Amino acid sequence: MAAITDPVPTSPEDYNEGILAVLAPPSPIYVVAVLTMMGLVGAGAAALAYQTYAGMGVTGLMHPVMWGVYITTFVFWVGIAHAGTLISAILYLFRAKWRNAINRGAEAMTVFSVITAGLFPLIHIGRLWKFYFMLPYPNQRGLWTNFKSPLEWDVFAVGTYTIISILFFAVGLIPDIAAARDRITDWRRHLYGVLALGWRGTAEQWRHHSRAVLHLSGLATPLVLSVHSVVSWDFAMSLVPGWHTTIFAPYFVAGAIFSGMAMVITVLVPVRKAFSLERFIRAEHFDNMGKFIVLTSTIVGYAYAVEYFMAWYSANPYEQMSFWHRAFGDYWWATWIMITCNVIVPLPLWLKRFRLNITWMWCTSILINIGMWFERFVIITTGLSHEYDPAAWGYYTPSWVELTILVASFAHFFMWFLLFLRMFPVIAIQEVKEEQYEHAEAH
Amino acid sequence: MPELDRRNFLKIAGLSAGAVATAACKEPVEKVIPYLNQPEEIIPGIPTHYASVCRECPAGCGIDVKTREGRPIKVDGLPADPTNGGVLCLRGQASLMRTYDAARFPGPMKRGDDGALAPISWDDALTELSARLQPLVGTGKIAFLGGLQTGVTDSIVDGFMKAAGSSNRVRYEVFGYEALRTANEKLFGRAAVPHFALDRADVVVAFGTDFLETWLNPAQNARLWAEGRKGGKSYAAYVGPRLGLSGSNADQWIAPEPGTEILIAAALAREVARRKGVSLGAAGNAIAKHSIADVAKATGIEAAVIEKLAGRIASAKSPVALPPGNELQTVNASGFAAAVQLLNVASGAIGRTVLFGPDHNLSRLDRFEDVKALAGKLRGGEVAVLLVHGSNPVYSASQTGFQDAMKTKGLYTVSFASSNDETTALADLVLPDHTPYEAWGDVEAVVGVHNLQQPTIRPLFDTRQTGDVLLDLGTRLGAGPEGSVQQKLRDHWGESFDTALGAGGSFSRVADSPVSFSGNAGGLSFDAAPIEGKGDLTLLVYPSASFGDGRSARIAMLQEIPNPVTKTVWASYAELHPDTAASLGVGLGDVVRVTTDTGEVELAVFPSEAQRPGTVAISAGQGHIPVDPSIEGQDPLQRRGTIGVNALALLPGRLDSASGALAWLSTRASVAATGEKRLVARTQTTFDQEGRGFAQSTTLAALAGGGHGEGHASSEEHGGEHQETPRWASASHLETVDFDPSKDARDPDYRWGMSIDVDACTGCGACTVACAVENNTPSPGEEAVRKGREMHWLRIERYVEHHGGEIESRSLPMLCQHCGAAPCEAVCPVFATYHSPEGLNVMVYNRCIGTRYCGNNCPYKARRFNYWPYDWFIREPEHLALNPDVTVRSKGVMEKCTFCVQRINAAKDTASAEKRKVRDGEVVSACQQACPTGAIVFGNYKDPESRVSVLRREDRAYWILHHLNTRPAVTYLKQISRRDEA
Repeated sequence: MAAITDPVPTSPEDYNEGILAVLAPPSPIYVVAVLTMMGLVGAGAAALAYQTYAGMGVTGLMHPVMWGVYITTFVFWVGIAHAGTLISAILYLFRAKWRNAINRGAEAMTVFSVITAGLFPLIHIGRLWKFYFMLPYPNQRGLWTNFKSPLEWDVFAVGTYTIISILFFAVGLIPDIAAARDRITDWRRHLYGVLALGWRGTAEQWRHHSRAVLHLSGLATPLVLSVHSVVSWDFAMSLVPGWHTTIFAPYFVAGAIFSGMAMVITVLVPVRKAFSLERFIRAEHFDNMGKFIVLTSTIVGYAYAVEYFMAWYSANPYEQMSFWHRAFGDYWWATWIMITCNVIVPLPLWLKRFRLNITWMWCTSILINIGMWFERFVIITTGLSHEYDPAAWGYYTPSWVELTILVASFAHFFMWFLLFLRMFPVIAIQEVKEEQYEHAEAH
Repeated sequence: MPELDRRNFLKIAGLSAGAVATAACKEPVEKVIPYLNQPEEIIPGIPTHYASVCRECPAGCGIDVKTREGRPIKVDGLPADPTNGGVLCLRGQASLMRTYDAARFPGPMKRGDDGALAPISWDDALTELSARLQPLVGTGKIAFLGGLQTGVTDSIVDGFMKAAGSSNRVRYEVFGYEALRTANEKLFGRAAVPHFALDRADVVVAFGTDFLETWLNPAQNARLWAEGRKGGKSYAAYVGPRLGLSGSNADQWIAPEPGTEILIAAALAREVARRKGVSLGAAGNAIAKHSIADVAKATGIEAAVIEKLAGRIASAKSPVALPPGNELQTVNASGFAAAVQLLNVASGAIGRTVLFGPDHNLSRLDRFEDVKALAGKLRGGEVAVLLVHGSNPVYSASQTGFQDAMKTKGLYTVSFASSNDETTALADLVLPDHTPYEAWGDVEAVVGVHNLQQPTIRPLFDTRQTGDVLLDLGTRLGAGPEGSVQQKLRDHWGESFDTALGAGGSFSRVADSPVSFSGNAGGLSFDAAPIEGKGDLTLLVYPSASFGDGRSARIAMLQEIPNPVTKTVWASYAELHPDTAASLGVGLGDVVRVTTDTGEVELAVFPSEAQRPGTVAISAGQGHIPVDPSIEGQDPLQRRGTIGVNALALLPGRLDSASGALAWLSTRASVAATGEKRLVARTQTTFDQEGRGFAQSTTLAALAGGGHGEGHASSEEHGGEHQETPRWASASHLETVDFDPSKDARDPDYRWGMSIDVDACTGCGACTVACAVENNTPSPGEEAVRKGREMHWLRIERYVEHHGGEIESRSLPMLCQHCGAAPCEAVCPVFATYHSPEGLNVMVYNRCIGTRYCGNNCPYKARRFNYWPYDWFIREPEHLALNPDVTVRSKGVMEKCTFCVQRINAAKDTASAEKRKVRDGEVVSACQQACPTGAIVFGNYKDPESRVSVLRREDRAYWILHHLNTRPAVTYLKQISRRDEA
């Protein structure tokens, strides 16, 4: 059980040195890790190539469960993305200072998970090579897209989210990249030179930068709510029993923040350890993230309860059957994994003792990730497998291709994250500095 | 070379890169080659129809063959034929695929010393064969084993046999009706198979008769059955241990102790005769001992049930009792058939619903015992050359020891099969016949109904029509008649040949020729038949609706059609009553070993409540040798392996001594679990509709009172009673919107729709096959069905309702409902599916990117996704069977029922050329055309007088999932429950 110590950095140089130290030449373990991830991504790409050649038959998808692991994973990664924006934008606007140490990592996570998520609608469609049919652009075929379709909304929601989160990430990086540029001597200097966009640290530049960050925060804030609401409407707008419910938007947003926070912890704990960033990512951060998890876990748990209540209260036999099946039918195991991981496992975090126990937090966060993946799996699969027509009920089992691509999606995410760790400062230097000096001045 | 400057370099580089890139994107170009000399009657794009006759089974239905550019692509019933009257069963629909079978023999084959078949030329083959035959002429050592042949085709065989100087000809069919012929001979002095007029019957009692599967002419039976039951008329009871397709359609099920069914018939005959004061003479004395009380004791059926049924028959105007099918063919089959005919005599059915005169032309058939005798002759060396045509005794009459007999030293066997089968696998010479779509011929299946068979495609392989070969051989032997089958037909029909060819034959209604009841049973016994052998369970082997006696089993399309009762495909199952299964400790998919005195098979268990406890039922017709063991790579259609087991081989070969028929119901079997488990390939996992009102029913009383029905069945109240909002829905403040053709279709003239009568639907599956043939839907195979990836656009759902201990089956054809407010349309991001101005829910395959959202959002689950590139699996010449009017879908796109939009467009073309609107009944969907009971009606809702509009206003009309406000264009008509109100 690792106790959280609270050493505080002492000088501006300490910040720079401490944080930029991660940019030092990589260790063999790092190289092995990156190569492993790349290998897994390669395996996923090979599986996708096979699927594209042979047809969707290589998946376990069937009638009536025509959406499965891919859409589950899509929603999962979109959800993961949300914590990043929440931490960087909303908490920025709310002036929650504790976010500073973790916001860079969280933003990076957002970018990489949105990119990972964005692949899945493409992996999922039957004719990958025609994906551009979904983009509304004037064309000689005289074809247009259907703006009534929630999937088309997804194109815009996810597209917008990708652009904003990359912009936000890049703008926030500028001062730190400049710091790195000034310190690094190898080939990366040129890269940083370009990305720093001529940052000199003048008062004028600082003023512009802080305005830009503020505005982008303003833009990103509604996205935290809207993107996952739109994603939830993929389900809520349909008439599948178990999908067609008004609670989905808030339920999904809460779930997204829940899973996103968990992923931040999952990622930051090893990073903090590996790069000795205990000085920057401190106990209070875990404490606060733990509180977020407790809050969102409660909301999610409440949403589960409300779904069952509504199924009963509506007197709608289709809805009732669907939920009965969810809890006690073919997929009972998935449902109980979901409830255990998302509602029961986070309960100890009500106590500060557990929130400050980093090992406990890390294990909890991993179980929550698993639970949240299963939440989407349960919603999608159980809903579809027991729809209206009893003669068309079925049981879906994912195939090895789907599971390979699922694993590859995690590898894809971690591959980018690992590359990011060595390329850019994982903690926003200038923001922690600010926080520290404001803190000092206050005394 | 001019100097290459930067500008030019970029130009060239850009151009070549562009060229390479665009060339890579292009899809392969397929050339359309016009006819060099266009045949007069062929206009490309316009179908040509030929009248012919179906040869898939001996029923010989008249067919209309639709050809496009010289190849048949669709078969339907010939309306002029008085037997099937324009409808065709599923086997007939699929029979076309036999012609395009990739595994056919490419030409004559000779078995070499290594035991393998090698090609040989026709000349060499015939020379060799005639050299072998020559010395045998007149010795009687030449034998010919064939199926049922009639007309000129038959006389050609006779002519050959005459030239060969032999009378060793056996006409054998597995469904030979031996017992009925014998019974009729004894009772009426006529060994005929009469016509059973189901259309006139108001009470039908079937004794294990599979009249909707294989019995006599199932297409005709289904047509007449629906005619007789229209509007709630007619009551049917089924006596037998297992409900097959026919039994499922009856209103009452009586399942006596297996083997004692005859007692029920006898008791009914005795009681009805008593009530009606009919004397059964000496035969009456023979059944006098079967009083209802005694029979009740022996059969385990309550006396009151028998009494009540007897009362029903006695008070009916025109009842009919159907003699037992093969399923109930016991060692006393003749007695059983006679008992049923006695019941018909007692009830006055003879001459009213059982009509002698227009007989089925089956009386010339030989019997199972004759095949046995032939096998004996083979073994005894009495036959030197055996010619086998249209018969597969090694498979279907294994009890005769035919397999070993064919291996007799010195025996030379010739098979005329067009593709490999068990008998052909042992033949020395294979002289492949044309398939029926390539050949001339004629059929007189029913006396007076002469069908002409004409080729509709040039033979695809180097095959020869067996009739021609026999004529040639006869000539070579120096004594046979010369000419060709075509010539013989022409000679026979004379001047009327061309007219008959156009009409499909000449059809005359032979007058009934009354028979008189002899008054005695000719020594037949009316005792229950013993079930012998080791084991605890009674083995029920039942004829398959899809495969008949097994000859249709090689057609993949039919393997893909679910068993009408179990909804399983592509395999054999040991069907056990759930209680029996539980007592054996086995469940769904557990592999068991079924052992009889003659054989054992291993197959998976399917618990089915549609049969008596203590029985194990296996469908006949499966378990053939692999179609094409040489096939490489992916084998979705299981051509490499054996599908299922041959249940006939389990029968010990006991005969009904009076008729020489093989007893199917005669043996016990032991069933033991092996511990293995298999995934069951089935299209439906539950038969409980959970009160959702998919297949609804009403009662006669409710109909008479103008009520909405379903009121008595509280279990169904959720499901949307007649246009009413379900109670829970109104409690939830849901509003239902009514169907409105004007709103659902912008077109001023048309809103296409369909009406399906659940009461008329028997669940036979002919529509599903017709749809698959018409719309090029693939048969993806067993593994695909296991994964739930069957591709049928139209499926028959089977639901079972429980009334106390009794079960009631309902069949519900389910297809795209072409909703007015279609849930699938709104969710497609690319408009690949959209609402046409005529109200059709249209699918644009080119536009589809395969998000499958539409499939999820369809509450009827009517959409099918191309998980695999099924078009890649088509082997030559199967591609010739594709309908050129319908796109073959590629992998990754969604598809579904189009309401046969190609037929709608064809009708609209015709109408616009004639400057008029499409008339009601002008567009006939493929399923409607095939439906033997006329349950499906297609038409235009914008015409208030169209049949669909009229049916929509019927009291029985209902819409599935009405409360979802999808405004479906398919109107269902409730089943009419005829069972007694308890």
